[in-house]
Amino acid sequence: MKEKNRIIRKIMAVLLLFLCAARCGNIQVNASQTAADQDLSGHRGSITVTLRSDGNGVSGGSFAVYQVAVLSESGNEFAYTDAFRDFAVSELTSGYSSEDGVYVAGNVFGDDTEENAESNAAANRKMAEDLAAYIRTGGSTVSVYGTLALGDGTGNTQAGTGTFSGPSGEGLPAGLYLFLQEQPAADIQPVSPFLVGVPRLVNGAYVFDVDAYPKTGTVSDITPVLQVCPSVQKQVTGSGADPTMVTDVAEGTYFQFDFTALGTDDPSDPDCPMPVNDEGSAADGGPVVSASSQTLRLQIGGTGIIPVGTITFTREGNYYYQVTERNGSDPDYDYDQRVYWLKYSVTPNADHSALEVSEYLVKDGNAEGEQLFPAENGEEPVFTFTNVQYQEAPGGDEGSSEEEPTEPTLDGDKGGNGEIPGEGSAGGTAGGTGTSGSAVSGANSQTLPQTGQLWWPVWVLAAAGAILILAGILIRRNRR
Amino acid sequence: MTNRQKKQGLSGTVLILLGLFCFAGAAFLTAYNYWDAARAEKASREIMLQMEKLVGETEDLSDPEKEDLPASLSESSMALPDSSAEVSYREMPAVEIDGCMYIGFLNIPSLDLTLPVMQKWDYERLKISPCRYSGSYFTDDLVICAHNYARHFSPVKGISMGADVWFVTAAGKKIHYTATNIQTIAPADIREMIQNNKNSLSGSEWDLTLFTCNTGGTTRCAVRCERVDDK
Repeated sequence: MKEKNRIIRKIMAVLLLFLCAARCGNIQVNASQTAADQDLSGHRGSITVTLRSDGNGVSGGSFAVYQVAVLSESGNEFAYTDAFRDFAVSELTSGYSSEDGVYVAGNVFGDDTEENAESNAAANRKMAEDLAAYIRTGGSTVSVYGTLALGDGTGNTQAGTGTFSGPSGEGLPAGLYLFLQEQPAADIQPVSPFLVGVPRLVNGAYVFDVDAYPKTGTVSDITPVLQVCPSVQKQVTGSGADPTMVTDVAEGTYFQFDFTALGTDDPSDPDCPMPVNDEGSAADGGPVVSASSQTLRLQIGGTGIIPVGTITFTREGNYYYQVTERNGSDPDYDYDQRVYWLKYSVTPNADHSALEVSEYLVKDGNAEGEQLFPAENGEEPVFTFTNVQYQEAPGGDEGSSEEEPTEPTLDGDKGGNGEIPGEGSAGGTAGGTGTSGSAVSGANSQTLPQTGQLWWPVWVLAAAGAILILAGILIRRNRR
Repeated sequence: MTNRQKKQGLSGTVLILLGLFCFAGAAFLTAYNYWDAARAEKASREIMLQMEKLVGETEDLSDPEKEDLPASLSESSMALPDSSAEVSYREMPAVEIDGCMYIGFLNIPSLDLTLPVMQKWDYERLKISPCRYSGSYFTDDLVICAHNYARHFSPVKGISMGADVWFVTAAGKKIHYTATNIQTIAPADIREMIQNNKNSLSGSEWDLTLFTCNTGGTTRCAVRCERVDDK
């Protein structure tokens, strides 16, 4: 009887673990692989990082380690630690829901297959970059879990190798760990942020002492180039038949813009460096709302100009970006649907001592849109977005308002490349400026081009000629 | 002869002269159209000769089994990915010939047609070669328009379904399509022409469209093509 009860309890435990699938920022583990095989909660592990260049261990360098997620109390799922809980629910990290987290976890925990290895690695890389950006912008108070210094080959240390077993060497609980390089090794390119998970799934079993081999390379002698991005200009016009610029926007009215990385021409290195904006976070009155490896979100109260920031290019290539205004939900405004497409071409200078931005294009809408900058008149580029204000102002003074100021709720992004030619102004609003990226040029954008030769007049003329000649002959015959 | 008879005689003569004038106009317009078509064919052929040098050796494209054209331009950064959504931001590479930019050329072996394609369209450019109207081969929504000259897009209206259509980019990459549908579209229906409705439940799905005027010029003939992934 006792034996029977024990068996029943074991079966119930397995079933419970199988059925538990809580969400809300948790990273799920494939329960069928963990529950029956190993109990993760009782184990401790370590992460050994080895940095190699040209096959040799690289001396020096150190990393700050952050504990991003740990096994939850239930023992069957991973939950973000308190420091990263805001990251987990941030709108910019919607890609890190539990479903996507499985892939990241799968990659981090070694659950790669031939089909998903590349996409898992890319997802892993992106998540690491976004976590690093989150830490940089101070989205929350994020404390370092521990540090790791790589050996230099003296004594018992191995050059380029270091083992992290927790802040006090007590061993790492099962979880997800982010490595940010504090100090690069001499003459070696900085290592990008990377994630390592403990344990790792190897041949169907979990291994708790995990090895990581982040990529690096020798430092190039070529000097990077800093490129100051054009600023964003916000204008507001009235909504009348002859709209004038509004300078007195209601207090508390904010407009937001996204500077988004689109990619590069190199499939093996698709990441674009993002602008760094030192004007301060929105919480402190500055323009920076948030920053990630792909999107810099800026904000302005009312009208004016805000800087986007400076991009540092360290490698040659073509880099593509897009600037848009976020749609708000304030009924007093129509939001500009314009899309600015940017391309920076970075090449070495004549003596290969430094990189330079050899070409800089801004187009309307998309890659095939009308070129805006460099402008023929030499005008300096600026990303101008114009909103139409519909508030009725006291005394008929269009544009001013004494209504209660409202902070628009921003309800989502607008992407797109502005196609559908021949549809005129953005958003179909009177006074709105900026056309959607026009894919069609030509004499009449309201209809398809006339691409036929004039053959129908031939038949018309011939028929008319025949009729006239026949009529003439008949008339002359009747005369006789 | 009475006055009435004289007037009738005069009217008849005038009408006959007018009729002859109309015939002359028809003849002149016919001659002009043939001349214009010949001029356009010659212009395209000259552009193609230059393009072959820039893009690579022109092999017999009537046999699609042959190797890709060698490219004088590096195509390492112009590889076409599997997912067109990943590269919607990329410009199509172009070469400059006689002051105009060309994104590549079309080849339709069954019609013995090889034509350069300009990067942008306007009526002056259309007199020289077919032009890109909208879209991109990166996003599989490229629309090319051309006049219905005898050796531009007039033969395209009679293309057989399943016929091979090749687009060779300015970087030398060959893209293989097959003709799958022919539509007649009203001149004002721009949206119908350029949206490929790939994600909608109705509407045609296509990766390349070639269009020109139907006889009479009141409608447009759109030949829809789907891309073939040759591996």
